[in-house]
Amino acid sequence: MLSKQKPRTNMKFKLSQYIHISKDEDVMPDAFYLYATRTGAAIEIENIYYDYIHNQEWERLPNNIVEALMQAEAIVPFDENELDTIIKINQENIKDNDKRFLSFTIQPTANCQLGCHYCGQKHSKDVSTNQTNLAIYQRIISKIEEIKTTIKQVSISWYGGEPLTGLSSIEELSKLLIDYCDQNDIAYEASMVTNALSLKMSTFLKLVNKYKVTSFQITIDGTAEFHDLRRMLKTGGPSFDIIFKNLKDIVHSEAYAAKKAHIGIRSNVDGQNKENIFDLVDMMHENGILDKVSFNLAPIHDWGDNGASKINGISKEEFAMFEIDIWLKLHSYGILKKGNLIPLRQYNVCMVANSSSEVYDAYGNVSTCWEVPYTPVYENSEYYAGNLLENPNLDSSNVVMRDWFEKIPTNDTWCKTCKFFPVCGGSCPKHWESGTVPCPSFKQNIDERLFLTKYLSLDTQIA
Amino acid sequence: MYTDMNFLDKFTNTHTYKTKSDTSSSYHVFIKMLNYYKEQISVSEYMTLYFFHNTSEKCLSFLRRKDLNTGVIFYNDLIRIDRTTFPAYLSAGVEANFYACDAYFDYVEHRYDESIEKLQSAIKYTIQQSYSMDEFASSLYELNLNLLRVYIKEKSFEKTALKLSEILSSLFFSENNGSHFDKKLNNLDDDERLIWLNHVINNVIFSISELNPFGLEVQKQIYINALKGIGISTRSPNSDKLKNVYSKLKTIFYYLIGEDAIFLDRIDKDFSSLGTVPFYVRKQILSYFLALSTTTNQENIVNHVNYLNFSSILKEHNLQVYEMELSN
Repeated sequence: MLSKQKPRTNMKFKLSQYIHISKDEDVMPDAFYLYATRTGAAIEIENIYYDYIHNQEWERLPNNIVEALMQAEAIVPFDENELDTIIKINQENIKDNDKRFLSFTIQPTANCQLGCHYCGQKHSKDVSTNQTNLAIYQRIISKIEEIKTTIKQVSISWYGGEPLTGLSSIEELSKLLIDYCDQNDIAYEASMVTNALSLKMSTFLKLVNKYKVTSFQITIDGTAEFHDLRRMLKTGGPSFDIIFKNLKDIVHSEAYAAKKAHIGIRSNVDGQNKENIFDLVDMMHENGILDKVSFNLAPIHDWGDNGASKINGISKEEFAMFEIDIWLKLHSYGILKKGNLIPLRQYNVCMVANSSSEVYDAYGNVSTCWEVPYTPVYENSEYYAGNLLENPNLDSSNVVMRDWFEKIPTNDTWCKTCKFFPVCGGSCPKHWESGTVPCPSFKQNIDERLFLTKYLSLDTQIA
Repeated sequence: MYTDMNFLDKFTNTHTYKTKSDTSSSYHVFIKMLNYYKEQISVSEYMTLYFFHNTSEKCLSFLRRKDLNTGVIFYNDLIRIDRTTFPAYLSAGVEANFYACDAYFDYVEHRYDESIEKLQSAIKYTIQQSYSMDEFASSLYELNLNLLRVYIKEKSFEKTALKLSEILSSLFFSENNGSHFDKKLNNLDDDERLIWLNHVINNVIFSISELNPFGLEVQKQIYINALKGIGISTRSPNSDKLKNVYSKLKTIFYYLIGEDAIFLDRIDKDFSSLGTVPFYVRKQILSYFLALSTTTNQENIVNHVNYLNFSSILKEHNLQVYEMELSN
């Protein structure tokens, strides 16, 4: 839609509200970082310009600094409502992407072998039936048909329960979807969140080669000593050794070396296991795994009403500092990539804000957040749009949180005044809805991230 | 990871700005213009002008990715800027920048007539600005290339061939006829011409041969007409620096008109200089050569005198046919 706003004459400019300044005399005695979250640009500027920028004395800055700040959108038109701009760009960019990309999460089974204390799901042996799979398939095809002239790619995320306990459904649906996409010249890709207990080499190869699953997230919560206390079998037995062996076999395989798939390791952290994560990193290094995977941390959070974050809880500040310590550890093994440290501009927050993305469970229920299925507290709640077996044409466009960005200026979150909003987007609408503050760790450790980036750059130069 | 980064993301983490060792200088002609007039422009004007340019670049970056809704936000910001208040000595440069962006907006929205009209305006203003600042003139090549891209989208065979011929005549022979070129272009030195030749030829061959919107027969005819239009078989440029590229275009021409023996002879005699011509010229010649070798058996590729050189170039161009020959 073309603008009918009044022309801008004699423009004046201001310092953006979306900047963060990092200054540390010990690390960078002559300069400071200006991190502009509207673009995700981190700019190193000499100290002599600090006051001029702070006081908005633009005429005292050299042209190249002014240009850098304007390009980074750290200097913006005086009359601009920046929050409106950010939200508008996000909404329009989501519309652009919604024409080309469709993403769905399928949770084909309510079953899981593990009994993690922090999981909010109620597991059962139920796996989606042929009838449910067909309904899910037809639903996805109908979504594709709605944008058939513009669609380029369909992405499926397999989740559970433990998705591999519903392998037959994964196979059935993958085959149908891949065939359809091949016939219609649409790219297809899939990822999986798995505990890897059943991820034997033969299964991995089948998933990668036949069903185009190219990205796996595997959760390991420490070495056996701690992992088995947290991610034990439902019988109480250990799971670490099997998972670690599966992981080791895969990352040393020819298929993995050929970069046909990537594995990310995630450790869920709280006060109980955090120190042990260092041992896990050492162990992965000693077994030739660490340099072949990516490695991420996440703090234990409340899932539904389980209050998991209160047990052995870790504060946001504590987690943020721990994250830096782990990165330094990864750096000591030469595998920390500085490109991952500074958050980039995020035009979307998660699939809930897309117009067509949906989550399907083993019963044909449709929701918009993968934390919802199998979690008792959400049963029959506003988080569900309906059931495909009862109504294949149900409308999920008005499910709670779809209008996330529209509500930012007036909802109860503090995103509307947060300088990190452009690189965060609100982090997790579901958590806000549940009354949990989901602010990301970089809000606490952005200074350390910036200086670590500088440190890594110097390290590279010296090397 | 970095390969998928967009314009804004690329900017992230990679730029540090210091006056002591600044390496941030931009080579966009608009920035050159701001530097050229920097003594005469007030800080406020400079910032508005830079904002204008930056907004147009961000608009273009989203439009190029077909993020049309997002691009329109920046386009709306762009058209809101009151351009009438800019100093007269650079107003033509501002208009040229504006109409070039405006034309691209029409182009991605498939409004080709409007796009051509706006490119013609951009050309007119570029010529105007070049009379007070020489460096502006060379942007005429980019604007003419943009016109050619619109003609390709329109599938206008004659206009595409004619425009390609006009650009090549300007670059090789300083023939700057018609309203889309200007005698100011005569001032370009051979190094600058070579840079533009690379840019224009790579883009044209990519748009015509790689994307292949016309089909193979029409594609061939476009090249033949364009090369005939510059008198490829009857004359050569005076500049030694330009002769090699010209010679390779001539080699292509002989293949296209069916003079296979001359084509093969020219490759044999002048193979070593192939490495220095535009990427897609190399690729075209190698593709034609392989096609000919496969169909006529006149050439045993593996035993070719330039085998080693050839194989590395083929790998660079992802030409799989030759890899198959190698494995036999």
